[in-house]
Amino acid sequence: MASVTSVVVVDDHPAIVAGIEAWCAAADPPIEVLGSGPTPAAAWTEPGLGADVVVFDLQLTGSTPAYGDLRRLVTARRRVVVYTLREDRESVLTCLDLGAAAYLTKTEGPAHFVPAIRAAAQDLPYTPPVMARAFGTDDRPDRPRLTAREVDVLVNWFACESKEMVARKLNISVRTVNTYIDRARIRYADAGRPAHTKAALVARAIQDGLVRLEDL
Amino acid sequence: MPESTVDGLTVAALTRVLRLAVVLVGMVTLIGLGIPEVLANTPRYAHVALEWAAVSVITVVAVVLCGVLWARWEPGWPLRITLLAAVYGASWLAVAGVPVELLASEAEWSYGLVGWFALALLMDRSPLAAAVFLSAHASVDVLRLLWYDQDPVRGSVVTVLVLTEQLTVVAAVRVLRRIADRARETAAATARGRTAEEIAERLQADRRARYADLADTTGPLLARIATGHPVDAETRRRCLVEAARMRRLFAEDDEAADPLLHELRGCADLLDRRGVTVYIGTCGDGPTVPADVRRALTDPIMRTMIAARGRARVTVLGSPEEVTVSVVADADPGEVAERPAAGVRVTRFDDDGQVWVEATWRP
Repeated sequence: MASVTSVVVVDDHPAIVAGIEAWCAAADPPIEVLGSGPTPAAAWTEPGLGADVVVFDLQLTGSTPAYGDLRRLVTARRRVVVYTLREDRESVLTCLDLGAAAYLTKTEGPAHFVPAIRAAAQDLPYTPPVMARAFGTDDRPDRPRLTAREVDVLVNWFACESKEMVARKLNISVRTVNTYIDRARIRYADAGRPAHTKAALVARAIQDGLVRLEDL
Repeated sequence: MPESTVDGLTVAALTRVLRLAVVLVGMVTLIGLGIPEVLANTPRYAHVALEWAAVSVITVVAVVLCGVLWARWEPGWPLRITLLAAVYGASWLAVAGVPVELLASEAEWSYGLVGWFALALLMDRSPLAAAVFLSAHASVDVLRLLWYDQDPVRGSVVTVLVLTEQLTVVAAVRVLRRIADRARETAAATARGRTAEEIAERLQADRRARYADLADTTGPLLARIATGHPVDAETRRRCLVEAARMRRLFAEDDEAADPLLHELRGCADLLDRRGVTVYIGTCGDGPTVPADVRRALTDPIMRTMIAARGRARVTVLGSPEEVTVSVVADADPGEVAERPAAGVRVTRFDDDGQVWVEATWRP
């Protein structure tokens, strides 16, 4: 894998693309934006074809979410970070089921954007606050089983966005906060449909000792 | 006691008196007309024993009915049907004892009698059923005359007389019911109106008290600004707090699906104009929060929001057991005051220029 992370941005708003480019340039080390475009074609053609991560706007010109395009990208073994205005739980869980690496909302700023991109490029889990809320309030019958502590950490992470403060409130270390959040993400990765990115995520999690095989 | 119930009782009482009267008419007819006819016609009957059997059955039914009415008991359909069948059966017995040529004469004493008891048994439940029974009974009598080759017009005067009397009673019951229904509707509407009025009055009083409360805090502030003294940061902050409280008060009057969220959004609008980015998110569904608790929940949150310099993140977390309103803002720790009230627990954490205040309520 190249030492510099690269992305392609699929978004129909030029201002968003410009903003993402600014964030990527300001990141340390910088993230390279290989290309951008208003349709998924940007990710299927050079120069975007070789990008490590696809930043994908779920709500392209049509009024329905572009789940089909997301599925095609994931099937082609692309790592996709969904970046959208939609905050509802259904959209979050559907995208993760389809195999998106992370789900990021446009109200979540560069503090989550850059880590999410880096984590996705390395097949590591990253759970932005809105995604944490979706896990913490999931009440579908076939949802992955989380422990009470995991739900507690997820919901507090959604409320305050600062792992340091969550750690202080719950009297645990920041490391432990991260472990709880990552474990929840892994459980969701494991529970969804088989997808390349998910398999990679779970493999990494097992390697890192984050989850044991018997947990899954 | 609600007015509709009082009304229902009045209707029941009136119907009861009417039924008692009808039973008495039946009994007087039996004793004053029926039994003397049986005695007078004893030699002419084909089977006089059947007549006495019929008299006994009707007497038993009359006594049972009187007892039921006297005890103010509401008999169910099984007992009513049984008594009705007994009365009708008795009338067949009586007719069976009368020779054909005496049908529809005074000797057939049961004819004008049966209807009264049927009325007493049916009219309070179903005036229509009473009317149907009476008409059917009269028709059977006419058919019987035709069957035995007798003149069907015989006894028509008695039929008309008896039916008119009895159907008039049925009509009276129907009118009584209709009046009762209308009275009940009117009473319910009046009660609804009175409740709405009372609620509005209490809301109004509460609002007046809170406006007065606001005047206590905003008055001195306005007076201070009016003196022309340079407005310091503290005054500006207090102005914002008062503005937020007013916004909340106005928001309380709005019809919103989620009043808690609606009030927080009102405050967020205010901050938006000052260039503070406010994110409001919700998580889970909680129990409905009463108005006073809502104030206690939002108060520390709004104070923290107002202290924000650039951004504030507000979340409403709900679970079946509790509702938590939380705010993270880049505010100076000194500017934020918590004021726990109304069973609301407030906690805060400071971290490197960030303040996290949480207000939690457990119903």
